Amino acid sequence: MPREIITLQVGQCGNQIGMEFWKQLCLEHGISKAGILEDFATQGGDRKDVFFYQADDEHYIPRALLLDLEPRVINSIQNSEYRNLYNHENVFVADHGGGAGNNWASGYHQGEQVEEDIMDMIDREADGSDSLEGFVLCHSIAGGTGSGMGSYLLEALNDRYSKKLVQTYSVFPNQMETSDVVVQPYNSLLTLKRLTLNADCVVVLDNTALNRIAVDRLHIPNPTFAQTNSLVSTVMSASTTTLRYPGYMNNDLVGLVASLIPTPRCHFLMTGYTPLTVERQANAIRKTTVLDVMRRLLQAKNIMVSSYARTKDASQAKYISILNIIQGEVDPTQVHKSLQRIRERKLANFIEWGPASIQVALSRKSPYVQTAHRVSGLMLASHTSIRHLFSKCISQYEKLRKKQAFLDNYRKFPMFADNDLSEFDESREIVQNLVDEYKACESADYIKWGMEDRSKAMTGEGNATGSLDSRAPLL
Amino acid sequence: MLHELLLALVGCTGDVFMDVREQAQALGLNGDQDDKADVEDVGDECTFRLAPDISFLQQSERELLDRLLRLGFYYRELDRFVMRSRNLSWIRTPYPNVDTVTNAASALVKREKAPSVYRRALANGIAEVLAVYRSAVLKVEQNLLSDPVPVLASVTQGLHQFEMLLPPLYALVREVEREELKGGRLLNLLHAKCHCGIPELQACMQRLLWHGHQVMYRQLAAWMVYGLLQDQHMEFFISRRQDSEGQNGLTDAESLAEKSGSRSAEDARLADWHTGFHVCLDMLPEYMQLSVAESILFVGKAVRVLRNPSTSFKLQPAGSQRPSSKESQRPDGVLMQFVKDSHSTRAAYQRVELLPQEDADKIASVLRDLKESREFHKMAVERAVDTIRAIAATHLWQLVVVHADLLGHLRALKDYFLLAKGDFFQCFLEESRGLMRLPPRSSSAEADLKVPFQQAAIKTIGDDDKYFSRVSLRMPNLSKTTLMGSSQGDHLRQRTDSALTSVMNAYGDSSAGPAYDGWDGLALEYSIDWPLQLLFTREVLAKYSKIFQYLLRLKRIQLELEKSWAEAMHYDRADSAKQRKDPENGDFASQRRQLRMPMWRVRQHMTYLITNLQFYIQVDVIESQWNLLQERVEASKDFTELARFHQEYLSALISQSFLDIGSVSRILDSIIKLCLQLCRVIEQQEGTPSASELEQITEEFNKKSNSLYTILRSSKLAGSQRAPFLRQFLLRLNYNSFFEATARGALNMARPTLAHR
Repeated sequence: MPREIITLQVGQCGNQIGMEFWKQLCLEHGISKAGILEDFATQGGDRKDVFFYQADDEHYIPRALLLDLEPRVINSIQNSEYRNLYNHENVFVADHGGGAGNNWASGYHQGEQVEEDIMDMIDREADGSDSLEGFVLCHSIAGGTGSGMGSYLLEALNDRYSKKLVQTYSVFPNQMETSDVVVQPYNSLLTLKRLTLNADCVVVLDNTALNRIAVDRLHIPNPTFAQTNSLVSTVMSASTTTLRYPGYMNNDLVGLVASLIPTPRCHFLMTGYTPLTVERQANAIRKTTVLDVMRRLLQAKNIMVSSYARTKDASQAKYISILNIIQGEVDPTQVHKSLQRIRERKLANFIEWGPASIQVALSRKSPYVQTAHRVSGLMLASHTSIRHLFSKCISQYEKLRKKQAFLDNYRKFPMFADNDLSEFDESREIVQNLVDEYKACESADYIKWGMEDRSKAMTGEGNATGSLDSRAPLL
Repeated sequence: MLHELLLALVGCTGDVFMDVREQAQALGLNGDQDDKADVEDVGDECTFRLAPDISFLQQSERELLDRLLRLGFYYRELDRFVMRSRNLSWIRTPYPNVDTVTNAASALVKREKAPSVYRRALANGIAEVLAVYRSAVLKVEQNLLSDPVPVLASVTQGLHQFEMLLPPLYALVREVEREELKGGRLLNLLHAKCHCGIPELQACMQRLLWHGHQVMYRQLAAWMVYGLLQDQHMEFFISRRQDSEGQNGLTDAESLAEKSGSRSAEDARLADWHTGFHVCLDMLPEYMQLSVAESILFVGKAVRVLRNPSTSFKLQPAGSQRPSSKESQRPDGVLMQFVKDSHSTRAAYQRVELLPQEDADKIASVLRDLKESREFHKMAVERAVDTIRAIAATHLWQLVVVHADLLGHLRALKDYFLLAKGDFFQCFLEESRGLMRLPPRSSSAEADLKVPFQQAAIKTIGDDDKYFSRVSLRMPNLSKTTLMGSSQGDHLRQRTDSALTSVMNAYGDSSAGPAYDGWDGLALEYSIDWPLQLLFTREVLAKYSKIFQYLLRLKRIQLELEKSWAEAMHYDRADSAKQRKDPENGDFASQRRQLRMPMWRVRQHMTYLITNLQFYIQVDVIESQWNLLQERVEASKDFTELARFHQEYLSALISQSFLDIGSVSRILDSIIKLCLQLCRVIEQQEGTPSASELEQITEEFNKKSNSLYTILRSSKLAGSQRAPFLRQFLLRLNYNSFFEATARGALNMARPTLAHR
């Protein structure tokens, strides 16, 4: 170890949720807003060095890169109480400060142009760590910078740090309301391709669901971004507790995600969290038990991805894997009882083509953060219903694409120059493939899915590209 | 004549009343018999006779006198017994062989083959009875002097109650001498004699028993208040181990000491506790229950421990409690400050701390009360012993839990031996991965691992854990098996794993859990300070070590599987990138991706199995049992219970993690081997193992995991005591009924083939 993780927060949304994440981490580790360890934080037993490094002067500095193409959010961070927390050398704002104009192509293109600067920053951070495990990318997939530049960074990281893990916290746009970003279906689709191909693990945070949770569960009539972002930071910090408060297992990123992701493409995770509070809001949730927590985590209303599935499809949806991270005072014997109860009542529907269960990791809680709850829990799950979210992205994209709407903005950039829209088509194909794979996971013979696909692909592509070695040499 | 009679009644014969035997001796009829035979020969028969030449007495008077004379005979014999038994000259002549003392006493001593304190006590009691008898004779004399008639009638009347007492007493003494009864057996006899219908005799016997008990209580007091064994004649029912056994223990301790390299008086003290003393059933009065005796044994040992704290322990409280300031040990700290000033006060402090004077006094007073009570009440004794045991156990509990920080050490053992500090071991395995890929070098394996071990400690623990300094890594000398395995090299070994397993089993090693590779022997050692050795015996630590090795192997294979996940993920990304960037060769890359699918699947099954086994052991077994133990340790204030709880905790860990089921271990063994094989294949073949090789691994793995499930489901295990835990593990394993379905499928597959044959 320490198996360090470098966080890249890209774009407006990425920086906002990143900011909340670091706030939460500072609270949990007893680090002041200026990065200095508080006097009371002497208990030890936590691992700060995964996410922070210690400067000579006893400052704890986040291993974070703040990247944006427009200065607004980053400026506000630099003017906040937390301005001394970050390493100022790790802040990147585009010189022109004009942003990406909610255009994926612009963000991607600008990312390409500033690659060197950013890679220098990443290299420096990587050099500063003992055994870098990987990167975490915080971004939204709808806008321009987070989606476009984020996409570019994913590809660049794959090239340069091919052996390192890349995990993303990707905020999906609210698809229930009309967005001010009309081209978000384009942006989402193009980003999804990179998330599918270039990331090891994507934690999907669906703004639609976040909003719904804020309204329904927290009774906030018109949730602000700050409020939904605090939900995100809760999820982010909870999903890293086993890294920061090490226990028996799941003490590094691989350990956390490897058992959740059985096949390489199905690496999109849903999250659930309970009990939920926003900031200092007084809560009315009663005393919770492990069973309460684990049962609630399986309820759709606590899950931070909306289900766009129709009822018929929803009944077909299955869990591929579940990891519950339970924090707080837990009687370990309760875990088994809860597992038993959940199985008896068939509260979770699992895949049939392989073994699957709810894994429960018990984790410590920060001694410095007072919560009203004895027990809290986070669920990380791979669930086939996530395909409906992707299908929705595709269908929205198709609506726009049919109208050939707003494509001019994209054609301005090299990737789409000369009316070359193959990138869209390819992205669509990849995302569709992903949807199909998740759908295949719902049936018992998913194992054969790859094989059929392969023969199909062989005949199709074989005809198109001419003759090739049809047999892979066996090494 | 009257005075002749009275003298004869107190044992002095003369011409009128004579001792026929003495006379015979004087005449030389028995002259050749030695002294010893003399004693032996004193029969039950009264040898006092009225001189036969006295003719003026009538037959009835003769009979009467003979009856009275018998009392005189008994008196004399009892008095001789008292003389013999109360002789203290053995104190001055500790070596019975030295035969220089020539006085009469020494002759008696010589006859006294086995001196006994209990017999002396009995003699004291009898002396009391004899004193009463003498005064009765005196009273008779006075009566006769004042009122001379009727002579015989008043003598008989004055002494007739002794006719009931002296003969049984004499019989008793005879039995004691003949059987050479002492200690507990003497008490047994007395206790048995107490049950008799004659009130006078019963009272007398009870008095004698009381005398016997006085000795016992003194010994008890010495033992339970000061922890001293005051028992020159091996009469107490608690005794030191016989030499032969003791030597065994010593050599054992020595071999251990050689290993750990530190040998001191500590070990002797430990041996004291564990094997030094035992309840000597031979000397245990039958009316004392063994449990009571064991309680007494415990108290004494506890007092010994409390009164003789180890020298190294003296600085312990200050050293160990300062870092954990939350435990509010401030007063102690202050106390310790001035304690450090002078050695004597320190010793005083220790003594006061560990066994406060008032409690020692209390034990003593409880015993004194017992001692003073006239009658022996079994219940009272048992109650008293219970009280005392509670006091001692509480103080020992205090010593172990409060002063020696037991829970801290237990937690440390959980952290390291049970891998609760997962990050540390992960880091260690990461650091030593390169080293552990190769077979261990027999000469330097342990030293080789020191560096990664320290490295991991620096990276993950730092100064946070004061207990870490006690943990050290051991790589035991490579046994024949492991050497054989390592010499064959990694690859060959995988092929011959079944053969190796059988060798391992032949060595009786299967109980140590599934085998992994040459590094299996890797073990931890934990240095323990006095007085925790009372709890953490070598056997206990060996059990911890066994669990550690098992868990570490699971952890190693889990990390390997995770590593290959990351690798395969990397190849997958690389291949998809190739596919997109270079459509000309894309087909090849896409094919590789597809070829990898079966690999993903079997890898997932393996991870699932290994991860769930670990989760089960960690949450359902270790953490659950740990909570239980913690609760119990805090709730009880009793050391004996403490030791029991800890034992139960350990055995629960072993049995619930199926470490002691050979068949499960063997299957896990081969499963681990298969996992390792897959990981190596993924690593060597860029994540795309050849179909045939993969098929072979998959098939083998499916078979093994299936039979693991079948074994765990089997009625043989399900019926046993571990059924509930088995169900817990099975619930996790078979959560989505996949294993069940596979098992059923396998059955269906098997049947047709059978039918076909």
